[in-house]
Amino acid sequence: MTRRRKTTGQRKPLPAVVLRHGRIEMEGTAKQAIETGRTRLVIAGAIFALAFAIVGARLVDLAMLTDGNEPRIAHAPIVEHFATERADILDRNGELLATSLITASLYADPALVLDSDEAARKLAMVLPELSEAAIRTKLSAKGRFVWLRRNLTPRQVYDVNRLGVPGLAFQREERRVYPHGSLAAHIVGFTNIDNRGLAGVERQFDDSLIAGSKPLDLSLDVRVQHVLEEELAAAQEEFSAIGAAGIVMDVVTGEVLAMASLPGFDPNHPVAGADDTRFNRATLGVYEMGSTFKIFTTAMALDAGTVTMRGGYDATNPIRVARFTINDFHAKKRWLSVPEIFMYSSNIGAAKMALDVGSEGQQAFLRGLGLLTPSSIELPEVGAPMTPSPWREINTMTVSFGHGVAVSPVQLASAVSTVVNGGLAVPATILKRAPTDPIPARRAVSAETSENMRRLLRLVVTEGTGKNADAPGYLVGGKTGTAEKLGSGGDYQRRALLSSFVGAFPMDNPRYVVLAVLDEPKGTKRTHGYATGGWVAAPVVGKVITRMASFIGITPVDENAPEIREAFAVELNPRGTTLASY
Amino acid sequence: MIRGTSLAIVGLIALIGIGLFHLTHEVRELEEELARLNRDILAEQEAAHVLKAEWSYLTRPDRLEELNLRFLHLGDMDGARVLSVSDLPFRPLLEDGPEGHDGSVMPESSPLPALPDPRRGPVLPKDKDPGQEIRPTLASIGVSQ
Repeated sequence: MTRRRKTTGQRKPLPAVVLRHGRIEMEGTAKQAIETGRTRLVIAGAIFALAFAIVGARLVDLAMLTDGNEPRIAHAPIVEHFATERADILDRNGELLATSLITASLYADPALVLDSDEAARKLAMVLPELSEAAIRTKLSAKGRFVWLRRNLTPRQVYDVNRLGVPGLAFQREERRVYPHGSLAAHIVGFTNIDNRGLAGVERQFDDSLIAGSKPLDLSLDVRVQHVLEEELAAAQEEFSAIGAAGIVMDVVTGEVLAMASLPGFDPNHPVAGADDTRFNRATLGVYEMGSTFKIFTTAMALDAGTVTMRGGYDATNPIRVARFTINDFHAKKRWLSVPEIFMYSSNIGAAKMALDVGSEGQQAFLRGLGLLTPSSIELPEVGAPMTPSPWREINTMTVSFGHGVAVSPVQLASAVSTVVNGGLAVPATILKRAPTDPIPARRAVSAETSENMRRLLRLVVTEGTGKNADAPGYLVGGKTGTAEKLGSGGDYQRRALLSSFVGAFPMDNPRYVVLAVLDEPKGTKRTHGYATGGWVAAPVVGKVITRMASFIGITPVDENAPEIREAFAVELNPRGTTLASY
Repeated sequence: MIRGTSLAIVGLIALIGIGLFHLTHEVRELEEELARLNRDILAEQEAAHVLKAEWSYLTRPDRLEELNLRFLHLGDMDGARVLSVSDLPFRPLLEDGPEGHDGSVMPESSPLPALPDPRRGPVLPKDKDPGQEIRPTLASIGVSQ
């Protein structure tokens, strides 16, 4: 309508316009031109209408209809979880051993500091460890950035903020913190200022600690660790030992519940102590262990069948080989049965036992127990054992009572675990094993030998040199060891001893091995001047077992019950008068 | 009529515009609140992290031992102090008499099992209100009731 009226208006002066029946019509060429124009307008209009219709439809589609893949409920972007740059380290019960804390480091922009004298005076008041003069020098420097102090506590941050000094600011940083201090420091290890692991688990698992936010679960139990460290420290002090080491290991899973090395250090300030405090005696140190090796010699002979529990050897005379003389500390000068050799810790008997098995057999047996290869424990500080080369007959004899071969305490604990757990060699681990995890066990000793060895180990505590390790109710078994340390000249020193005791409990179904080693203990009046394993290390094991058994869940038994006495009965001297003991 | 339609459309547009503006504003406010809540959650998580470290520091075995020595005086628990359930005397049944219910009198028909060896340590009094002992202890370490 509109268009037509307009057209009429425009076309008014043209002559060919005729008004017919109230409608305007045109004639000739003019009409044709108009018709063409009208058609073009209609087409253009249609195109525009279509375009607008499409836009409109799309608007309706966007605004009112939902797309198939559009969510019905709007979701917020994924919430960021708090995570530190380095994952935590936990003990087996989830107790925090190492964590990263956000700290603030104070810096200043000297250009913004109005009165450096006043600012320095105020700062020195809240941060007394900084000297006023030093702060003043820093604040009047030319640059735009100067560190004042790294890693402030929240309290100090608050104090500094309260001063209201312009030009001071904080930089957010992370700092590795060990809440338990020196406890288990050798295992947990420590990091440098850039939070990279330098020792212990921190170094061994450095990459995974940085990569993952999942905490690392160790097999340690801080309670057992504390008991072990405390008892070792007490013994170290009482006997003026230069060092001590101890291990508590699960005999079935190979998990280390506690591992101590004294003197210790605080991983929060690792460089504060002397260098040797960071040395892990339990894994990196290798020592000639002495008589505790008779456990392996006896097990080897029983396993090989060269002697039975009723057999024995003549220990009347010392053995002389080349320039060496093998003698007994508690000499009986008679024929000794296998239980007696073990109980009295006869070197002569052990040497003869080993000779009957032979050098090859001895090496194979010790290798099976993992004593000739470094421990597989997951720590960077693992010492390789020192073994005789070549392995002569004299070495076979000395190794039988723990001389001429040096192993780390963790190797010894693993090997004893194998002997008492039924004969399965299980690799030592510092990581917690899930109950469902398969345990990589390998048979190294027969089950029968293992049972006999349990009886013999129990005998040492009830009748022999290990009486001080007894913990009533927990059926402790074990073996003492006292080795003279090699001096700088390569000779053995009578005064410098390495005294140890390795125990396991409860002997009717062993669960844990407890090892205590004291480095150069000195006898006291109470021990009648003795510094041997039975006097200095055995009490440590006894106390550790008494204290840990209650919270680790071991039910005490009545040791005088007939069935218990019978289970541990050993015929001491089949050749002499029948002396039955338990 | 054209004026009417145009006015209606302009009015509608204005109305929709105002509505849209209002909605956008609300969404923005909600988004700000969400961001604030997320920031708060993060801050709380960080605080919890610090508290965990502090808790671990405060529950160090050596500190607990020292606190025990100061306030509880509990000794080491040796094997002789652990009994099995079967070693415990049973509380008499209600039918045995009203005296039996409060545990003060044991009926003659069920003699007490043999008491454990005296060297097994002291037997704790049964009916003592533990709170009586704890209250002065709490006060002495400065905990207000």
